[in-house]
Amino acid sequence: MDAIDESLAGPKTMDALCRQLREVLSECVAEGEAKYTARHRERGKMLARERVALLLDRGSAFLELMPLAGYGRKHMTAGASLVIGLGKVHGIWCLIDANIPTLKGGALNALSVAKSRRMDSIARENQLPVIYLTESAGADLSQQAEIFVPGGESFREISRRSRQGIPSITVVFGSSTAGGAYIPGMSDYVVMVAKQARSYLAGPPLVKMALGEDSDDESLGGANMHASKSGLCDFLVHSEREGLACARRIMATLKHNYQATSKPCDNLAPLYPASELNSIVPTDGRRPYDICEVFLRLIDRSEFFEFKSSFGENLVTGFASIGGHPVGLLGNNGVIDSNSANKGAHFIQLCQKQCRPLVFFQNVTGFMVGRDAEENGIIKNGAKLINAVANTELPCLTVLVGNSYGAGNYGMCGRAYNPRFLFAWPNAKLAVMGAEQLTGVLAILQNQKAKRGEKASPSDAKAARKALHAKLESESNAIYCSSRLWDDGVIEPCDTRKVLNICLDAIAQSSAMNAGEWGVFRM
Amino acid sequence: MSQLCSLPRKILIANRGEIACRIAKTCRRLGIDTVAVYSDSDRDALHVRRADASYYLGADPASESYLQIAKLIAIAKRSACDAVHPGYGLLAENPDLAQACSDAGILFIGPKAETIALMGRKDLAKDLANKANVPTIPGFSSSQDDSRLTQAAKEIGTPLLVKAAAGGGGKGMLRVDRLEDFATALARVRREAISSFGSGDVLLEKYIHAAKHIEVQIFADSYGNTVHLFERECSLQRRHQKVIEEAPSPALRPAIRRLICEAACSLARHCGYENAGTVEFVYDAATEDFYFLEMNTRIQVEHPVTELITGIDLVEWQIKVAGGSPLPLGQDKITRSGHAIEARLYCEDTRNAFAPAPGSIKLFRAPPVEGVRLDSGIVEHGEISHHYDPMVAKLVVHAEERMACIRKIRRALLATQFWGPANNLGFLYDLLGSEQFAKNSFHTQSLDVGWNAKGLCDLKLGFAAYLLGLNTNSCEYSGFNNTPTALAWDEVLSDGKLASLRYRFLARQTVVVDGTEYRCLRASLGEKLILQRIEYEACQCEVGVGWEDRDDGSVEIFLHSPTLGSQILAVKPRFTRATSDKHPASYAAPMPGKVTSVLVEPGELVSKGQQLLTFEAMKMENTVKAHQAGTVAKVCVQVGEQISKGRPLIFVKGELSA
Repeated sequence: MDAIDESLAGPKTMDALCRQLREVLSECVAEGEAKYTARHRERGKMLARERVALLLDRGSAFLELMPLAGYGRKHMTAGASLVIGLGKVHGIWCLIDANIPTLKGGALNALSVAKSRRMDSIARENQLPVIYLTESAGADLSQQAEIFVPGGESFREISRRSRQGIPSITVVFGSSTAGGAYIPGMSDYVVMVAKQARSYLAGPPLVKMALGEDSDDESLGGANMHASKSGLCDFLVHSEREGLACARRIMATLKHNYQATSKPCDNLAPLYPASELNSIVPTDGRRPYDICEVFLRLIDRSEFFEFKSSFGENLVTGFASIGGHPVGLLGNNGVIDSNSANKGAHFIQLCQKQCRPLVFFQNVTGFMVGRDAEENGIIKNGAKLINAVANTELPCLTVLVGNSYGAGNYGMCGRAYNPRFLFAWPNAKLAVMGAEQLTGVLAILQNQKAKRGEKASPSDAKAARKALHAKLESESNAIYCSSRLWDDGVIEPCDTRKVLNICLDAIAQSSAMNAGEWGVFRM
Repeated sequence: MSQLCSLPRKILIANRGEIACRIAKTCRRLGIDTVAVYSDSDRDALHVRRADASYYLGADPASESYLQIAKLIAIAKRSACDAVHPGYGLLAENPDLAQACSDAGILFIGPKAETIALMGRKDLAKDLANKANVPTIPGFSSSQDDSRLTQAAKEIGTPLLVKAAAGGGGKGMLRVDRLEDFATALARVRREAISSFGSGDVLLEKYIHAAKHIEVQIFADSYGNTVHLFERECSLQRRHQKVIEEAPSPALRPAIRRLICEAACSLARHCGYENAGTVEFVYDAATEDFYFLEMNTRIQVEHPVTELITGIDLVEWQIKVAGGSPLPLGQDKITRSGHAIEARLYCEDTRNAFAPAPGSIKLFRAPPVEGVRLDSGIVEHGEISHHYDPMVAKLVVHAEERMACIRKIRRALLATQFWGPANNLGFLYDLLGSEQFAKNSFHTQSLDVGWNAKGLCDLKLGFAAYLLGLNTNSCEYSGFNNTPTALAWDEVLSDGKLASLRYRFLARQTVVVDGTEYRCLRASLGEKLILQRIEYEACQCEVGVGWEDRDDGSVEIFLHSPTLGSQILAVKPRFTRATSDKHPASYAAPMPGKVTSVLVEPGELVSKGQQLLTFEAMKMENTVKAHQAGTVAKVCVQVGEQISKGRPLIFVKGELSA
């Protein structure tokens, strides 16, 4: 039985009631005892409402929802340990759901679950993006019976919103473990603060108990691990402020922003001249180069917002714009392995939800081969990428900026995957595999034949290999390919930005000019 | 009538900016056609629009456009100009232009080429002054031999100045306080002199402490008549360039004034001077001694103060005299009345050694104060290019007496609306309102040794004006917050002060900044500025506010208030740039310019503060220093390369705090 606050009883003037409301509110927004808030600050961390204030646009309103949750109720916490409200981030109204880590470690009680569920229905009904500022000890186990069953709904809601194209962005500031791990787990975008964020299903003690395995927080579920190994983290940041900035930057990539405005502005030119491309990109396909160097010379103001930068690094993905058109960029640094294939598939889905056209830059020698790769499911993971590319409704543009070999060509939206436009640079090589590899394979096969006693003079074999090499070399040449209409033209690197800009203009026009539902009625 | 017949019919104005406009104005009044010339970025400049015809000269660097004598002469011929007015700066004191004009049979509005050449050599000019019995500063110029110069330095004693013989405008000049430093100073001035003037010749001069700068405007015709139009005082200088000028000088007793003006005329007569000229003197107020400094063979930037006190149009006189007319007035008919002050409005950072601050001027509006003359090269908006002098305009006022004049010009400065790069409006306002200025105790070094302007703006008010401005266009509920949550905060920088301000909106038009409640009573949207009337504590004020979001996430706020002056605030970025960005620690060009040296190589280890690269911008050498230790990853530019603002120069990979 909860205590009834005496002061709430009896008739009063409206003014007095409002005064009283204000007093109650100020009690409710206290974020725990001074010693806890002080300790929290000592760790260089911000309080929940400070995080919210910094996340919001300057001058944005903030309508806090359900702030009185838990007021005067036993076993509950102020605001149910959550700050939930409606505010603008990068010009977009969204819901913010911040744990209050200074109230019982941010542990969620039965009321927290109820408050979250209410937020979920507001988000769903109003199609609002949700930004989670996560730092919570998890469920208050003393109330587990009331929490467990309904608690699952919030994860389901994140996923269902995602299907509708309403993104959830999670910034992990601290602990987000066990059930709580599914908040980042289900979110479309995840930002983690290095050395603070921690996410695992079971902590080191439980792991020790279950498996006898020794581990520590950081290696088991730290931000670095998730950014480079598990892929749970898409954006690794080094401070709380950076984390909030990153969430704001993600908001800036949402369709709400660019669909509202189509402003061709000045000063979009890349900071690095395109003329440098000719010297940066080697014409010898065996020599690697960083595709980012190409990006920085093609995109507006050289501003590249990289997605999963330390995961599956052979495929570089990220947000940028070209001539004011927002695009998602995918570019290879050589071979595609399982992580990069998965990353590509994830990235394409994000872009799909935000109606952001894709631009593929192929310098790909194919999918990774070898025992490890096969065991890790390279075929299955590569298939995910191909699946995403095959089924995306987005306009795609593809530029061959180096090698385009094997199934890499498919996964990176080669001709057969129907990009709206496909161009090649003069150095591009298009073939089932490199001439070196193919002749190498041929040599191995010839040797095997020879061992089996099938006759073939060594000199003949060598000549055949040489001829094949030359044939392949010439057949994979950009001009040879273009003459057979396997692309829409061979372009110079320095013209690429202009070419892409024209294509994107044309694409934007096609989608802007929706012809409506009817044909013309002849009256 | 014969005088009128000798006027040129069409004048090529071989200049740009305000002086080109100024010359065109007089020409128009006299019925003379004008031809303007322009570089790429001056295509739409005001001076082009003010002329009857205009011709393209060349690329932006003055060396490729405004300094191209052959092109100018060709244009003059093609456009059938019979005269060329060089204005000031650029080619005004280059005898080659005068000579080329005369060779081409075109009238050069100014002295003869020989006179320009003679006065351009400080050593020769000094010799001439000595011959004309005009006192000169003790010095030495008779040898370029290092040991003889060192000997002379000892004789003159410190402090002394080492100057480039062919220098001017404060370039190629160094003060030596200790004889031990003489050799270094000599070498440095030589170097600068060679690169700037093509001649390494130097001269030495005694340094006069707390000197004032007094100059006399003279005029001479081809009939041997020489007159003076009184003096101007231009003691307020920064970087050896004048910022505030006035006439008459409050420092001179009538007797001294007579002497100094007569000395100027005497010098002009001695060199057979023709047309307008200015004889500059160093004046020792303590002893009332004056020394000849140099003679400028052109119209001066500050000529309007003379015009306002004498009522004479100097450009008109220049044209008439060049055309062969005698001086319109004799000395006895030239009188003066009242006092005039000119303030030069520059785009420069007064907190940062007056470094030029080129950029785009979004709004510049002249003050509607009666009796204020505005000589400007732009109207409403324009571009201050790093290729040229960053002067925007000159505000000149006239009043019956000095104090009234000071009040009036300060009022005019307050009423000047300026939204654009950093500028010296507030600095001028402060300077003119200082006790030192009222007492005329400033000397030519006052600003260099450090003069701290108070700064006008109330930082809180300025920030509040911005916050309220942010919401002017928004809906009623902007800033609403139904729970007393953590206040928002921002770090705001102004006048070199950084303040962390906490704020909270109470309503769209009401914001509390650090405990003070600011309320916007009314707001109207100007073209670029939001004008607001803000009430706070017991005060009310009008504030115009505009802002721009910068790439680094900071916001630059331009404020203008008739009661508080113009000010720029910077709101620091709330967030640092995410480290996931691909750019390594890059050093970008802080302003456009030209790379003069690259001091590091890729792979080199650099320490914090180490010089990485130098570049020349606005005629000044700037240094890019490492702000943290690391390894040079890449050098993106080459010596001689033209760099635009924001261009990455060098990448230094820092020691990451992993």
